[in-house]
Amino acid sequence: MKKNLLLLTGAFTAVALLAGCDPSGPQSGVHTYRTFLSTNPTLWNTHTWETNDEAYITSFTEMGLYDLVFNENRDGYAFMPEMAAAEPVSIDPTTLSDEEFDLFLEADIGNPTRGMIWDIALNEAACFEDGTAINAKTYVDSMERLLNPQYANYRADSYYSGELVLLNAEDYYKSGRETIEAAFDHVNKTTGAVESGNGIWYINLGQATPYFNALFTGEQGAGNFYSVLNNRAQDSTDAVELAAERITYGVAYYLYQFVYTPGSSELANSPDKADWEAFYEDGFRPDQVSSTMFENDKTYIDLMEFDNKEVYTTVNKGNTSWNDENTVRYTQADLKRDLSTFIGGVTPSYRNSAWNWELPLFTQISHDLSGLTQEDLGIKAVDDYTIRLYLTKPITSLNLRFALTSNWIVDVALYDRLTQTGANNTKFTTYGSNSVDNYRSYGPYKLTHYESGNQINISRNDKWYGYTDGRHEGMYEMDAIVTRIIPDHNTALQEFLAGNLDDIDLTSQDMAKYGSSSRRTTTYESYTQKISFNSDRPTLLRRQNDSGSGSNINKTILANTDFRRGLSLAINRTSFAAQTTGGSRAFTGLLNDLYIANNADGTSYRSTTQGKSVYAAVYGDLGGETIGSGEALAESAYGYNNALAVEYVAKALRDEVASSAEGHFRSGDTIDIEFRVYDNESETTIGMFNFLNKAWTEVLREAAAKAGVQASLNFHTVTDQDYYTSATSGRYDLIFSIWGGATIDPYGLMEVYCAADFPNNCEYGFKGRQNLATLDIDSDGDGAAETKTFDEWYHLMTEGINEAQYGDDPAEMDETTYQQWQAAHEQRLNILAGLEIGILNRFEAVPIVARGTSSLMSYKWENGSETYVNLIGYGGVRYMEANMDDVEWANFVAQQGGNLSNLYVR
Amino acid sequence: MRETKQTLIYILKRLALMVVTFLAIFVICFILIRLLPLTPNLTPGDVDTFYLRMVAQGRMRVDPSSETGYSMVPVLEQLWNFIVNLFKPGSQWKFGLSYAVDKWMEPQNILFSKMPPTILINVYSMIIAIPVGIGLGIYMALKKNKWQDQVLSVLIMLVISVPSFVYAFVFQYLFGYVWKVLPPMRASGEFGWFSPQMTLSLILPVMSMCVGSIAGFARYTRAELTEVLTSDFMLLARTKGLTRAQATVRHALRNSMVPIFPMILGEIISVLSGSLVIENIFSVSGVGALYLESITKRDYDVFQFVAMFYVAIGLVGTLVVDVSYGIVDPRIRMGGKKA
Repeated sequence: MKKNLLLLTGAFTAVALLAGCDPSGPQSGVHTYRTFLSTNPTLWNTHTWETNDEAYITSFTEMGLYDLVFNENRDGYAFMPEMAAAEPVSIDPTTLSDEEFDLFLEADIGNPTRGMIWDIALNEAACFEDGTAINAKTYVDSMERLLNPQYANYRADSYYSGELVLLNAEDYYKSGRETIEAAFDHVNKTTGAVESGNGIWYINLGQATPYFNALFTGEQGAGNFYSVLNNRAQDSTDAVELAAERITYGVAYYLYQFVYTPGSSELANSPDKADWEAFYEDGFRPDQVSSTMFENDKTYIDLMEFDNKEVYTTVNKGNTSWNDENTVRYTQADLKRDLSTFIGGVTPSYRNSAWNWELPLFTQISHDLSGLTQEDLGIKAVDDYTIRLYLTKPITSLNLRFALTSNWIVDVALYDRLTQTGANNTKFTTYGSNSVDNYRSYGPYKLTHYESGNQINISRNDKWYGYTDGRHEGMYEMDAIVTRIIPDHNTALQEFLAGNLDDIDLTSQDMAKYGSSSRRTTTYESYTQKISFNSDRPTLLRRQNDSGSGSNINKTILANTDFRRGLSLAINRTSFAAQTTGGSRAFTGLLNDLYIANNADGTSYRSTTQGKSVYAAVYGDLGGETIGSGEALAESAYGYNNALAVEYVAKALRDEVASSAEGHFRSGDTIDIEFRVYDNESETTIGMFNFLNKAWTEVLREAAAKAGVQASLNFHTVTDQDYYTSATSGRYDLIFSIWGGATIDPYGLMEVYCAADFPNNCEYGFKGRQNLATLDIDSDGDGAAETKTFDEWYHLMTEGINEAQYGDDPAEMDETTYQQWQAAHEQRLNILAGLEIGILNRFEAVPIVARGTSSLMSYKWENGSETYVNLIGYGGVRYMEANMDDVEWANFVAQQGGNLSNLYVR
Repeated sequence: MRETKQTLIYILKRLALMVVTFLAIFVICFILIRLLPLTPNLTPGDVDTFYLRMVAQGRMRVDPSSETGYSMVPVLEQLWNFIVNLFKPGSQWKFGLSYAVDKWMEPQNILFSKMPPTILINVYSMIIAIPVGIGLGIYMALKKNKWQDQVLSVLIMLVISVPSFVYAFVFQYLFGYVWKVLPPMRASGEFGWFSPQMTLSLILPVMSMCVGSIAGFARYTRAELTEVLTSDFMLLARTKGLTRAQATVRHALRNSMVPIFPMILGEIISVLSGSLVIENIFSVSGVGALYLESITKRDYDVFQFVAMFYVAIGLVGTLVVDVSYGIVDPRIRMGGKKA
């Protein structure tokens, strides 16, 4: 027995000793960066990555044609050609060959203009980690794989939906698809022919189409067919008015009879459930048909349905009842005739066209462009080491370089070898996933080990040109990057404090201990965290009624702007950021400091006069301690004034009590606010919820006392992993939404608030296409401030005013051109700030913090810059400098007793 | 002979029932998981791309009348397609394809790739827990109501009452970060599963896993053995001249093993299942988190395969445990009818 015990002890000792002889132990002169990820990147294919984690590996192993580097003073950014050999060269369109011209003509672009053709000389020293040369063919073939419709790559849209739009890229990518699209874009306005349409026609009164946008403006059109019909049913000729009514009631009857039927899932999910249900209680009545029923309806009705099913419509104009005498069977032919009558009546240019009924409809478009091949794509090899890009719209050199800071190349041979074909001729490739063997690096580092869920090793790529070209002195000092996958934050923190990791993100709890550490840095994100309210009264009323009729639950008060304004003013954003986040900061705007108004010099939008004016415009007219005193809140207050919050909430309570609207707030009601969250058990969510609950309960208590009413708050969380979808459908009272995007294009970002049909708008009740904003801008030259819809302002800002036509860099413009550029630039900024003010003043989107992450960096490494530089941050891996090599670091940690906790506290 | 036949019939019946149960659970799982809505992430990219991938995987089809232009393929149709694909010779991706957990990998490959660390931890844990637990139980039974028994009983109750992840944190903190005698996280797979680095790095998760099992085995063994030791036949054995040790080992221990042996079998079967929390704490990256990850990411094929794999293991395990009663104690007859 003793012998066995001795053997066992000996075996364990041997294991321990062998483990001590770790061959991967620290080596002198080697600088290893040790970091971690909390979630495992399941792939790193540049064509189809989705999350930031999936772009983690390629951030080391790949390189763009151009990259952002520090300027000389390390206080701004500059461009450096990397995989490109030189700056892009704009090609004079008149020098194009006939074949090249045909590319544009066949794509219906017409004659190309300056800025639509670019040559890029490639870095001839670039190669994959195995030494395979990277040449123009690599770029052309890789682009084909990226846009190949069979692969359905998530990143394909990078080359057709932004500033850089490759010729035929979208059509090529969408080849083989059939989509429902507004007919107006596809109808030949002379012949009426619809190319690539399959002859199936759909009607949908709630969807916006270019037809209405082109022919009707403002409230008149309001973006959808129902509004047009409704308006024209009252101020046109009798025939047109009757046609408009017949179309409306025919479609409404179809939806009532065949779509929103009792027990159907469509009815259950419809935001207008109560409206449709009312029909089943009272019977179908034309006067109960309302605009909201169409605005929320997503059904495309095939016109054939009017023949296949028994649909009825009105016989006479102005019917309010619905009986056999004043209704008639409504066929497809009848509908087409009414559409034709209506179109001819309101748009004379199409009066005599037999096909005019098609214009407001939708049709199924086939993208099976059999003639489109790789040769038609807007990228070609000029020679072995030059590629030419053909674009559908002009781009400046600056924006082109921004767009080309990411790359699309892959080792095509390996990519193809790892491809399998699935159902419907779809292809899947395991390139850049599962194993090191399934990938080829070509950046400063190469992937050497990948173990899903455990560890990723990246080491210096000796084949990278940058180590020998003399242009990268003092850059990329790391020899290896070891990344552990550590899901548990506490484990990661302990690893960091033991010297096994070189960085750690801090949570709000960690901030209490390490927040004042000299090793702490804060990395700001381009995202704003905001409260998104449901402000749509009918939807809130339905939700209120669903909570129990006869109960004293109230939700409709959320539709009261003063109430939402009061809740916003009750949030001490500075405390909120400090107590519930790990690096975010109080913020009241939509676009934070990172957004760039002028890419040429990096001017932040927030630092412009227009950007600065937003705060005062939103909070300035609130007054000091009383409503409307005219005093602005100090900017340092970040929109917080509890006394004023009480005033606004009290005013809202009084107004609501006095209201006669259905379901209005009554004294004694409990205001029920359902806060939809992804995970109601996470510490962060609980912290944020408690903070808001405390602030709002208190303000409501004081406001109720002031208003002389009884009111209480029931603020509660509901777990909903699809809470964004719920919000866009109106099935919520309040969510936290995160909004932001590319910092180089704040103008384009506003689309989310300006297009009513844009799917990501979380503020249900806000309708950018319909809601009006008056800005002090005279775009039509009449000398007066103008009122337009948000959507119209947006289009004026992004399409109507063209800064790019004046050149790339204002510093290089002559005086006249500069003045023209500046006028255009100022006007765009005015609109941008005006839109921001307009949105914020509605208090449906209530920004709270600008997102940021605080992290600690080990004493082993230093950032390239002590100050945060927009677009580059602190310099990243390119500029990090080591204070110690691996052996020195191990000794340093040992000297501290293996626990560095005390060092990071101070 | 008749008894053997009865046992065989019993086993065959159980096998048939097992297949029926498996199919029933499979159909229920398949239908319920696929009734969950499929929605694209609000991440950059063409939303249609998500739907195209769903179409390629047979979940959705182009449907112009739907809001998105795509609608779900009816679940029963999906079920039929799955079964056809499963038995069709030469068909690809018989168990589907992951589109979230480990993109474009087949579910069985994902599961099997995560198994080695989980199996290692569980096997090491079992090797330690069973002898130590039973040994402690025997010792406590023999020392019944003495101070050794009372001290150990209190300790065992304490261990059973505290969740295993608490030990995990404590062990990791003390051994890994304070005393620094053991690696606080699982070593990289590049060292090899049986390398010294790996073995050493698994000690803490194994300790965390087996503490609870040791307590469980000790408690059951003590309870069973205590009861058996006070039986009349033990008195008879002693009066026949057997020593206390002989009587305990030959008679008491064997009888007390009847309820404990299935526990051991259960432990062996659970070798394939992981602990979500412990694997997370020690960054083991085993199968523990796979279940949850496949559900939260709505990776239905992975969930389906993992779920059915463990259903199969569970059913087989239950059968083996039931049959094992007859082996441990021949007085228990399988498939016997009431007289």
